[in-house]
Amino acid sequence: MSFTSPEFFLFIALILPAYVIFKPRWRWAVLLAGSLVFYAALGAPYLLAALAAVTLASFFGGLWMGRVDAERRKPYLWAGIFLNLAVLLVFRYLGDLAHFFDPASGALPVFISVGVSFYAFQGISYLADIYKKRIEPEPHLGHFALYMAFFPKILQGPIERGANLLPQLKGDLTFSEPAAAAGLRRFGWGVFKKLVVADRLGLLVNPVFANVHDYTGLSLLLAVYLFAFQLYFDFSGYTDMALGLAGLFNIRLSENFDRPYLARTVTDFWRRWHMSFSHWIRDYIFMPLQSAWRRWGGWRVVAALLVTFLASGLWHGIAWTFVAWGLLFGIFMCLEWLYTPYRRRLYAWLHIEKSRLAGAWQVFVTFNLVCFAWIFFRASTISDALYIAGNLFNGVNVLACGKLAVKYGLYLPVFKGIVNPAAFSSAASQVCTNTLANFPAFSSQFLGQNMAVLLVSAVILALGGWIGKRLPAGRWPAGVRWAGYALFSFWVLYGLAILEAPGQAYTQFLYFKF
Amino acid sequence: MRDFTRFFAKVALLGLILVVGLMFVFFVLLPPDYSDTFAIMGRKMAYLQNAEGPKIVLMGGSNVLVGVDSPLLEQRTGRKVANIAIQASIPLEMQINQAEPYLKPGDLVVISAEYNYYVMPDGNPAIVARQLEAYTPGWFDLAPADIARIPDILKDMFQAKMARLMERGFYPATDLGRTFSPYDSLPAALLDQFDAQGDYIAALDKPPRSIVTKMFLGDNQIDPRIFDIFNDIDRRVRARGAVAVLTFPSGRQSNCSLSGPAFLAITAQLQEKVTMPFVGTPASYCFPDNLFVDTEYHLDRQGRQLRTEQMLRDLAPYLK
Repeated sequence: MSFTSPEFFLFIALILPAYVIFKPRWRWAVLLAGSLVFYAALGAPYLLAALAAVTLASFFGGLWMGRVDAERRKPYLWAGIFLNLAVLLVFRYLGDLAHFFDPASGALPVFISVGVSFYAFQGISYLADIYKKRIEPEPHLGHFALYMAFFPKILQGPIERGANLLPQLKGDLTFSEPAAAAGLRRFGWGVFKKLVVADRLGLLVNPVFANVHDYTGLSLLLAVYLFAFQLYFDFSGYTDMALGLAGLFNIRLSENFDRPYLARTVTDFWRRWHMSFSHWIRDYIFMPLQSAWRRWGGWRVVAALLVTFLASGLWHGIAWTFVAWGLLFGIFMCLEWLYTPYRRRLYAWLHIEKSRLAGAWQVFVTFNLVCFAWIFFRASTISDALYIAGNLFNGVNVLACGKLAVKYGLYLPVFKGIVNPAAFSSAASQVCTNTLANFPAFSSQFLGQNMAVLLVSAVILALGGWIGKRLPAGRWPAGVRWAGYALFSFWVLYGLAILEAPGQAYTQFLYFKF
Repeated sequence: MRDFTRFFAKVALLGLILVVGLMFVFFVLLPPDYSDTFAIMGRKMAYLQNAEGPKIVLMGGSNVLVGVDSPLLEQRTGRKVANIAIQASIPLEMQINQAEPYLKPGDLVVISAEYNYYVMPDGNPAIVARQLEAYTPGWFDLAPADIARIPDILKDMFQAKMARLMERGFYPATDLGRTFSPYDSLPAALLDQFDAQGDYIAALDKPPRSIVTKMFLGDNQIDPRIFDIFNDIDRRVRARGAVAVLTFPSGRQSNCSLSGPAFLAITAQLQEKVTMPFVGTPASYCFPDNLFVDTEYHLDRQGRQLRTEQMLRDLAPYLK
């Protein structure tokens, strides 16, 4: 049951009134029952067993830890972590491992493992927080089970800390109209990001990554850049939906994204991207490792960074592509850690610490480093990734491309009465590069409505973010607000309708597989 | 609870605004496009309804729309001929739903489905949407499978209408924005491009276009549902005192050579499991390649006459 399926809307139409009808002190039970139904609807009953195992291991591990002295807590901590990791290994990685060591064997069936890595990490963080005395153990199994299984975040996070979510679930749960309205707005924004923007970008990106050897040069470069945005809008769209759904029940989940592509450094990027996960690996892998290896001096940071990001890669799957992706980020972070003091001195010497131009340059460099890493994240195999990385600039005549861009401006099929795309395509292949001509955007399937929708949506995204920050929708005059809602909903419906033209099916969330 | 009631009322109001807005777009801003191929359906149905005496009703896909000379059939048989076929993606179940109320004892229903129909008898929601937009009474004649796909049909209708809106507003004077057209080979037809009986006659004198010869069905297996569909049609036609017969679509000689065994295999299965009689053979409806205008099934003027003559010979036993 996807957040965008008709069944899910029926599910919400049932659970929300039930939530309101029940007394506040029993609403946790409604949410828990609904969450289990939601998870069971994936059609993989063994996932409920995985959820139960992680929930019980974490709950009793925490409970028993709370009953003993600090010095005697460690066995319970490790036992709880071991059980969580065992579930993670069995349900999430066993198939991956079999494939990794013998790609042709297909020895183990591929499990649907959606959600397991998220709630297993949540269980581990809960145990670690009790061990560190950051939180008290939760004594109520029902509240704790809801903390683990709450349906808006069970599939793809955010990975919630006990300190944030548990207190909200323990007291009387309330319904708040402003929170629900804000939640619905946020949900709609997420639907727009996912279905109208990310899936449409997928139409451009997926064919290239599916057959990378059919493309070279600018086609690959464009696909890599567009994938960066596809992934962002897909995952942040999901997060918006999750946070919006939680808002319907007056529950606040953690933010997961904060304009990550405006980060000035890779470190800054990881503070803004998939924040609940990056904070998790920082707090539960990097910090303990750094602390354990403190006698290594400065190298402890380098080693801890490499191990942390290697683990981050492996969390996404057992494959060389994820190993390379994790290590690449680890190396970026290490280099940045080593280089930052010199950069600061250089900027101070040049008096450009507060220069916007220097800031923009940093954003540009960081964005490109991140995009380079995304190649390994998205490619099907390591050889595909290496092919892409090695052919990004193949056959590109930068000067001629620049001239062509000046002549035609941006490629805007919206104005194709003025700019002839066939002429552009032909000119591109003759003058600038022969590597862009077969890019999916230049196929007739994508021209027209889809490109127009992408461009208009880009304006909506830019304006929506800008206006939303300065003037929240709640403060708009009612007429303007309602007209905005109606037009926005209409646009989403339209984007959805033309996306699902023959051969352009809706795609699952990219992070669903993790 | 009051909070929730107010919230629910607001969500319902937004839903209402959307529905009203969509209806405004559907019916006011973008009224049905009565200028394309599907708009002919109303006139076809009127012809069927008003035909007096024993008549012939032609059903099937565009092989019937383009490839049968109904006036010639009328002239030779002395019966009125209503050609209610439009496109292969409009299922036969929908066509029989449309024709059934007007069938009378002594009528002859002639069905000629394209070969790909035997593999995939379901309608194409986008095409059905197109027909429903141009011919609203068609909503009452939907095939059972299409009733289950009404959301898809509405979505495709919305998509087609928005395509027209985008064409007007965003990029006028271009057809690049169309995400689909009724069919590639025939241009969106005007009503005067059909004759009174419902045949499409604007492409008859077009020069033949190069067509790649490929196996009609390949390895695809016949869909077993079609036996039930044909038997149901036969039962309903008989219940009206009329007779239904199956005949074969026109095929290019080069493809008949290639796909002949597949045609015979289909015919053998149908003859075994379908109660409706067959007229002719697949081979008797194979014509020289140069008599086809654009696709496998669309005959030119000369080809259409040859095919109609063949039909007259094959149907003779049923026209006495």
